[in-house]
Amino acid sequence: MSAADAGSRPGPGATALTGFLLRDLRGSLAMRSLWVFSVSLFLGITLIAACTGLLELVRGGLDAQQRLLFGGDVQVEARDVLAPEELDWLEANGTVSRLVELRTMLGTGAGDFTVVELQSVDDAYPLYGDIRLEPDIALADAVGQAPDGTWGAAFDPVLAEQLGVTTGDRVLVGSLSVELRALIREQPDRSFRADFRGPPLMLDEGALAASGLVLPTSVLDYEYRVRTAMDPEDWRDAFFAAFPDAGYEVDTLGERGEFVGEQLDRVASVLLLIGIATLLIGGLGVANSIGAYLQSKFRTLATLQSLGARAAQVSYVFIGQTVLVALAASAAGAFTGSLVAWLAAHALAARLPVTASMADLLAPALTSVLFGVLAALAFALPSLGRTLSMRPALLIRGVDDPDGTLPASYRVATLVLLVAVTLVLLVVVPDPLIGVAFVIAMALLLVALEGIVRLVRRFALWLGRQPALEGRFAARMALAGLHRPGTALRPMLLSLGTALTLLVASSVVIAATLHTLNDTVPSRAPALVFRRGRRGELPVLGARGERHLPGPVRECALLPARLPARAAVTRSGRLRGRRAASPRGTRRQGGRPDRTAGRWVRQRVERARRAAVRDPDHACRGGGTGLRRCGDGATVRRVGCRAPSLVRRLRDAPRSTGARPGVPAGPLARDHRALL
Amino acid sequence: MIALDGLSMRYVAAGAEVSVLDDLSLAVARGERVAIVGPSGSGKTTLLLLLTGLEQASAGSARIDGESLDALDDDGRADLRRERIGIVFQSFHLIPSLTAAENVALPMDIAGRSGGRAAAQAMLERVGLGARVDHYPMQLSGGEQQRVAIARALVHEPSLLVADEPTGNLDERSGETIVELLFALNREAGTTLVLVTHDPALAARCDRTLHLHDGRLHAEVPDDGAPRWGAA
Repeated sequence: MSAADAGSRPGPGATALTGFLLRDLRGSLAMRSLWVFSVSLFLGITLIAACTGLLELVRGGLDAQQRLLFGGDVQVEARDVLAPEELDWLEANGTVSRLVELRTMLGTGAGDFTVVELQSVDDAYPLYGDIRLEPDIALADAVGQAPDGTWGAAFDPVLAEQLGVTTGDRVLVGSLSVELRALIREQPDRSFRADFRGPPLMLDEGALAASGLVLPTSVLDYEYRVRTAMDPEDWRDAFFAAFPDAGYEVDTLGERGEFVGEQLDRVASVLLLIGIATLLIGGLGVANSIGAYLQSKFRTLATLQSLGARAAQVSYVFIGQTVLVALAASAAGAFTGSLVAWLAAHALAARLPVTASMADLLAPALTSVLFGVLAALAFALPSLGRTLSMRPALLIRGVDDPDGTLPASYRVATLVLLVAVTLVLLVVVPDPLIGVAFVIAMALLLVALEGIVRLVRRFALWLGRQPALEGRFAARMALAGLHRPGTALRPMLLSLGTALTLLVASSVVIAATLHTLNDTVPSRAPALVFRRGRRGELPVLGARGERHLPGPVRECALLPARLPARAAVTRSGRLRGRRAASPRGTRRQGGRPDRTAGRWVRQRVERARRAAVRDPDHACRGGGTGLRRCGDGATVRRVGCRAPSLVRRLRDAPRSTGARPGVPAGPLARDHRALL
Repeated sequence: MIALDGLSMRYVAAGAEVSVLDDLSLAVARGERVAIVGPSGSGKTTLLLLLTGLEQASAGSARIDGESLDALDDDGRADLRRERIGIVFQSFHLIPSLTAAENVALPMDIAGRSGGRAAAQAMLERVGLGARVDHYPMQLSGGEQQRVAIARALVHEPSLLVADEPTGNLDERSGETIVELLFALNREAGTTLVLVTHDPALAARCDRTLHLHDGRLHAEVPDDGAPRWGAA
């Protein structure tokens, strides 16, 4: 039989080769040949799986809680009752619950008064979750009208604490005497915002009407909450399409969760990058470990080749072994990481709305395993390629080939794997920008370290040839160890350099994050926001605040205005103007800290040369203002006063349309927010 | 069976060209037993590697069983080894993670042939290791390991058996046993045998002895067991 005939034989049985692969691997693992490989991978994947898993659990918990806190899928906010056709549309496209909110004073029989948030509820309230009262009665019974005509109310425990009222007491709301029938023990949409408007008092709409507080000049918030099976964004688009001139603000569930999601993503990104950095350090360990493993397999490789195994078969055996070990180590790491995430979720459950469900951990665990296998292969392939393409003569003699080059096929495969690892990394890291920065930094780091390796080699070679070292045996040996072929300088320096760099970088990132969380955010975020303080009240508030509040009291004037034009920006980037204005598009949005920028821009008149303009960019651009980035200029107009301003922060704000009371109509006014 | 014509092997090391084999020609008939003797570094092992297609010559041609090795690619040469060549190494080259039987069955496993386990069992019986089939190499003596290696080299019934110092790592008694076994099996199978050795007694048992020195086959040494360069 000719060799050609032999070549046409069916390929050697994969089963037999797989059997050999497993038997050889079993023997190798018994000798702990791949110990470093497995541990490196295991630790990195454990950290990644723990971070991604915990993020998923926290995100899932927040998503679940978000709907309850939001009270619906979509919310239409208005200052007045919706038009009948608008209400019909809402009811045709979901279940509607109307909540009317009004801040007012509540009085007791003893003559004590306090600010409360009146909330009139209908039969559909709450759309999500349950309200729990004490005593355990239905909400309708608590707020309904008794046969004697007395209206009831459910009140917040804070109110009970402030005024010392209890169930059965009567309080005065406007001109109406209301009976407190139940304490609110659990309210699904209870707000935990810093801009606390007073403890809630729940009433029937009939009671609110009877209180005499609903007058033409009253500032009431009508919140139409909608439960819908539609995508909230689509629902909103359909609503705007049906009523293009409606002047309401429409929030969706997704937007409400954005802020928390963004913060969570940033923290998770940092943690994940630490995990990935660990894996990359481990990756260098993987490369070194595989190199050492293959060196121990020179004779096995030679034997296989001498017995007639084709290159593809030999590759199958050793790449297969690498994949198997990577898979096992990654799976073990993913399992351990998931377990850590699950335990951490349990530990956090008391403080965060976390769902500790193992099912939610499956996707992060599988992604971690994929990441581990890809990363392991990417790091192992160069060693595999170099060894598997060595001359058999060298393999038989057990001699490494320091001048061996990586075959093109392995080079391409390594590149493809690195790209795949990068893509998975970008998918896994919640903040893609941080992921991209990390990848670029890693690439630059490796290039820099490679440059250092070459420099050290050349320098060692040059130094070793200097006559001054003649006869200095130890020094020449040491220098030879740096520049001779096959020296361990590269793996050693790459591992050490990368590990130290990433260690320092991780420490800096953690320190910066902790500093931000512990110091910067609390110092810049208001602990409590008092709305609509009158000018005369401010000094009193300031004086009391200094005594009773943990920090200083700062003023922030808010008023609606419109942006009639873009302003020219001077070369210095400053705008000239008599005073700064602080228009806001809606009453609510204007009073909250800037969610995206994380900084509440305050300006005092004496130093105000800039105004920060909140720009819901899609609407803003659609409005034709041309405001696109921080630094763009705009002229803010309020009651005839024009104030040039600069955009300090851009943010997405809930989309709204048309005019509303207090805000001049027009495409520009309705979607811009500026803070003074 | 073997036809080498003007075979040369050179390589570059540390910037200098090293010549291992230089214009070497040789013809070996089917079933012939040939010993190649020569001092260390003379290129004996390189010659065996060229014969088996594990190395490629810098110049010249090599034909095995009428098949030109130069005309075959890596896979073709691997197929040729798998089908027609058995190799015995000085240091056995058994795979430590496999039992004796698994080691012997490996050529058939690689070839995808069935019945490897039974053939291995039979072959081990023939080399006197029928009771050690499930033993790992580390549980066998040097002589036993070499017997396993011989069994492995012959299990797929090759037409050419190449042995590189098969007794080099063994004591005298074990070496004698191995030599007896090697020649007995060779006789039974009618295999062509090319043997590299330092041992004059072993070389003397071959039909011909070739003297390799400085990369050249200088002369054929008479079968008197006394090479002219006097190596022991």
